[in-house]
Amino acid sequence: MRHITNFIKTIGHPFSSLIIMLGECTRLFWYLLTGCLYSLKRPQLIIKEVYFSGVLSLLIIAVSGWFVGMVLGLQGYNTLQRFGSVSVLGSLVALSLLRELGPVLCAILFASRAGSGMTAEIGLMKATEQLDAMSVMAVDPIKRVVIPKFISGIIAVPLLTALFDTCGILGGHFVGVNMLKLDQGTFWSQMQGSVDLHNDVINGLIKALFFGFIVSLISVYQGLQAKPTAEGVSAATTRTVVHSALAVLALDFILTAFMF
Amino acid sequence: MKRSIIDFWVGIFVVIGIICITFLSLKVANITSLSSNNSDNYTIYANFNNIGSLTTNAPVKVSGFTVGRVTSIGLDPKTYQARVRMTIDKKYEFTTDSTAEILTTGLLGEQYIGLQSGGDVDYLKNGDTISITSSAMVLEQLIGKFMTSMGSK
Amino acid sequence: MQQNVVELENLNFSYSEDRLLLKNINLNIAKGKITAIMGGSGSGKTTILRLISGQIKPNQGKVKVFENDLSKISIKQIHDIRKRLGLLFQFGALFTDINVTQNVAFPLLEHTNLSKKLINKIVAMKLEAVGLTGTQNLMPNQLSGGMARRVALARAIALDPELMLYDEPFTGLDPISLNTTAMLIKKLSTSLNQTAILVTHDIAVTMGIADYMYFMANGEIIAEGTPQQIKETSNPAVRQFINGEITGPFQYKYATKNSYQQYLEQ
Repeated sequence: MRHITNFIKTIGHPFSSLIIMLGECTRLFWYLLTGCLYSLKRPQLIIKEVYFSGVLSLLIIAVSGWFVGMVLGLQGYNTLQRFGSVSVLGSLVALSLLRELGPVLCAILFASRAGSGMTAEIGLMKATEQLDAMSVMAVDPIKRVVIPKFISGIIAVPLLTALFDTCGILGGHFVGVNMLKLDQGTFWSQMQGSVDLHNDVINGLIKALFFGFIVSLISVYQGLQAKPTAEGVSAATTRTVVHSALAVLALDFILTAFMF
Repeated sequence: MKRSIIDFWVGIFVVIGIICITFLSLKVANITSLSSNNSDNYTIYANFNNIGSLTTNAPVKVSGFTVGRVTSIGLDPKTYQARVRMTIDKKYEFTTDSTAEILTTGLLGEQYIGLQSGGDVDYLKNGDTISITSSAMVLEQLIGKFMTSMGSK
Repeated sequence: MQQNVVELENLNFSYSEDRLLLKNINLNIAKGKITAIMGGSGSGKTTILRLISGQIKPNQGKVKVFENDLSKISIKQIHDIRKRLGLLFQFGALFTDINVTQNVAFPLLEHTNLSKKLINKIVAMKLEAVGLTGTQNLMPNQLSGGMARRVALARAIALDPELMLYDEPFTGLDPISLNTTAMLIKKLSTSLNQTAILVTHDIAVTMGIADYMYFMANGEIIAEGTPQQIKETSNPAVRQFINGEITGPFQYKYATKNSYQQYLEQ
């Protein structure tokens, strides 16, 4: 009998901890929502966080976008050539970036570049009692520290995604037009013919908004959740990246099913 | 770091973001689709025996110039014909005896609807149906016809 | 009649169900006095400070601060109480992303509408009080441990709290800064008529500045009195603690096995 209960416990543990995590995330989210007003009154705090999460991610996002676009251009060219329809290369690059690759890759890069930083910072502040010190000084550390980070993520990810898409399309253009000598006019007109503002551009950015939201939520949650030790913080940072990637991909499926 | 420097960089960041969004919506996306949502359009229908692989959002062209888009495709339950709904820019009007045919860009490219105006005095109004249509060219049928005509010789 | 700033009544507290960390604590802190809570490591001293500052709630019993029962008032009222008290953390807990001035100015910026000029003046004054004039633009990681704790003290007294809680203010200080800190605590208490609670295990210095002392062992108060009374007490546990004897009634419950032995057995 003992063995059986232990067995069930071992099997059930990941599930029950997942459910508990979801519950805690929701509660944290509710807390963040109710505290938003305080942070919006102090934009300076948010601007500082946008600097760390957004501005410092500009370069990695732009460069990755450029390379992803170039790869898409090359691969797309090789495949399309077999069907003799290289003229649609522009729309292939643009559509795959705007709809999927842009938001998803950008969110995952953001999680590893800025999200892990958020987790580590909050975790270390907790470990060194800085959050306690703040709350003893009658300042709510969630409102003062966590919410600005959370909001900055929601602001930064859509903007970074737009940058990623743009750089990717320019990268694809570089490969297609400058290296493989496709006609520039065909490239752009094919793209414009198949990309729809509402369906592709805006839906892609809405996706990015959701991803920014989920990645930021996971990052701050893991930071607050971290055990106040060096080991705990490093484990939490890893979890931020892993959980963010999983959440983004799962959410991407759901959003795609709803949108397209 | 000084507060003003942070403000400056965040400002740059937001400007870059807005430039990118503008680029995506003006240069990458089709601007004509902007007008597909407003009221400067009217809707007409056309029934086809076979629409091939026509999809919603396919362009509606006159002499190769896009004047509208396919908004939905359904099946008429009585005649078993495909019923295509399209929105056309109000600037362009077509006579009631206009013809609609399903054409293909290139040999394997995307399919679109080509309109050709006739000589009637009346113009199509919102909700009207084009009666003269010709269906999509289906490659298998074409090859089949070609084979039978070869065989009969 | 003597006024009590803090009262703990029949208080029990535990983090987990199996081990009671604090057992039946009754403790009164008189206004304007320095009260020391002493005891060995792990005797639950710091937990008492966390209870008083409202960070944790007791399982049983009452915590009254400024005559408010902390378990009966809203979080907003707890914040109002916290504005009237200062807590000095054991390791300072300075905000590492901002410099010394911004650290000390933090509570002022959060809770007052003073002008920048005035805030700068107050910060300079508080830093002077802790003997750290001229460190304004240093970052916390450029400070030594003792300096960091003094900056934290300057931050804790920035709003001139009525009640100061000191968590192990003397650990890890050299004899000179130890005496400086002790004098500082005494000075703050007398000049501002500030009430102070001192959690420490440094007997000699505490005897010199405290007005009243509590002794704790294994989550219970085993003795209390003025320094004079404590010196003359016959309680064997207190005597053991004062003299630093290894054997005696006071034992560390958790030291069942040396850690290196466990390590070898692995």
